Amino acid sequence: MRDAFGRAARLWVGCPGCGAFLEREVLRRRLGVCEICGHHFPLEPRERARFIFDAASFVPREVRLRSADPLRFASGGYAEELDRLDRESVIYGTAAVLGAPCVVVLMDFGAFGGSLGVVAGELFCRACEEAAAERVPLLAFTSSGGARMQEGTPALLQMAKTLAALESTAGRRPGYVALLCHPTCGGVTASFATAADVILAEPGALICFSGPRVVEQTTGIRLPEGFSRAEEHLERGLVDMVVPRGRQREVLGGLLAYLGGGRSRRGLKAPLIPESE
Amino acid sequence: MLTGGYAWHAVLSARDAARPASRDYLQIILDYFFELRGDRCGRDDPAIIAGLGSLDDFRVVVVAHRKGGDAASRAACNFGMPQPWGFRKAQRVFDLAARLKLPLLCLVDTPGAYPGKEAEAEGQAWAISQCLVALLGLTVPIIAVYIGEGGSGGALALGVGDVVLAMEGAGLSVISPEGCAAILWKDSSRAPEAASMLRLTARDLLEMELIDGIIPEPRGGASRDPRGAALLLRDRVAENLRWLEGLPTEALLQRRRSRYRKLAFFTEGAFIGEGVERT
Ligand SMILES: [Zn+2]
Repeated sequence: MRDAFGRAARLWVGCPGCGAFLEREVLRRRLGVCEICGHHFPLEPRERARFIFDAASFVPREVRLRSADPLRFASGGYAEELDRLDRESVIYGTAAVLGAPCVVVLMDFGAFGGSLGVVAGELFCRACEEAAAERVPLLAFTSSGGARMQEGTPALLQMAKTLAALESTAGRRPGYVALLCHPTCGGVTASFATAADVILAEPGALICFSGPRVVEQTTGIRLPEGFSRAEEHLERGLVDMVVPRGRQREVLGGLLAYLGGGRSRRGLKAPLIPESE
Repeated sequence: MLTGGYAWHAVLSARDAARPASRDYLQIILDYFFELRGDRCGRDDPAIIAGLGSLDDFRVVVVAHRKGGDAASRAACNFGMPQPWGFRKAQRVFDLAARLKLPLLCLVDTPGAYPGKEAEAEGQAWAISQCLVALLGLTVPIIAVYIGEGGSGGALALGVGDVVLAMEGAGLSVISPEGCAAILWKDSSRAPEAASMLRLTARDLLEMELIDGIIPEPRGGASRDPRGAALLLRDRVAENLRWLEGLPTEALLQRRRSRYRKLAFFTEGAFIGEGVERT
């Protein structure tokens, strides 16, 4: 019984959107989107890379950096946590979407809550500079709890550092597209995530500076369903488009081809300009 | 000495209502001030004070967090916690400084950006990143002085520049000590311990080379002698304005950006996970 139950738990997953039980394998094939309610499950960078980029086009950079633990953050056992980690919260590399080349940054919420620390900040800057050197657009998928507390003020200053790299390469980099995924919070939202030339978001993604719990605790106000979610930000003009996973390849391919300005028109489609909604 | 003694003492004194606020400093260091109001998009945030000032022989554009003095004005200023329209007001005045070709002086003193419902809905994060982008691209010299509390991104939004100084009793932290203690131990009463772990005091910031210098406060701290503290601040600002004035714009921008770009705190060639024996 126990064995069967254990196996069942690995094969099935409950949807937070509609409560339905979904078969993991089917969910994976559907890019982590619930077929009943359209809920977007979090995706690991590798899975995301697999469905967004052209086959074998993604070449991650093998960068060996280790945080110097600037606070020597004792009580959290941070040094040991760093030893145990097998990956950082940011990976980057070159890739192509529908033939359009780019440098891509992928954040990994599974690695230390996707937190922006000194290594993640450096990797973002290098990605930015590589995009400038290669004259290709920069693409970032963000997902982060914010600046890494265990690295203190040096982590906070990664906000200024990543934006400094974006600013100094602005003239040489043909555009920067950010796709904000669930959840994107704190110092990441308040720096490179919202400094993109085109800001996209995944359906239902929480995108905020202060999280809903903090807001409720501070103000005593009950927040409505959907607060600080991608759809609300679209309505308020804070993002350009909410893009379901099924359309991301097509949308990103078009944008990257356009921004890259190359002669390839493969990603570009005839305009489809909607009437006002 | 108690655990977290020095750092916690620094946190409490930075928050002390008797400590001079930006208005007190400006009142003493400036010979002229014209306040600029509003974000030009329909809102004005009293948690940000901005204006045209003159300091010694210099004309400077000033932007600062505003905490207020007595209980009523502190509440009116939302205790120095800006809303998105406060940051947008700051940003439009940054841009004005560039248009007027006048240096910018920022005084930083805030518990943080306001975590409110409207603030989030109106794009608090967007407003902060736009402030930072504006500062990193501003074509005039920027002097930022941390004068009290430095609460995370809401402080940094006014705290990036060519010369970054801190009053002896000021600080800058990624999270409040209470918040940190709540995350680590689910017990915010252990904030004093968290304070010393976070290395958030002016001394720590200088030691980590995150700031250029500390402005000493008169004996007993700035609260004891606001005028003495303000005059020390004025001299340091004037002295730095003098040499910054001579820098060509391109050099200024390059220097400012590389100052942040070069922050390291990592080792190259090593990797996470390498403390573990692999089998
Ligand atoms: Zn569902």
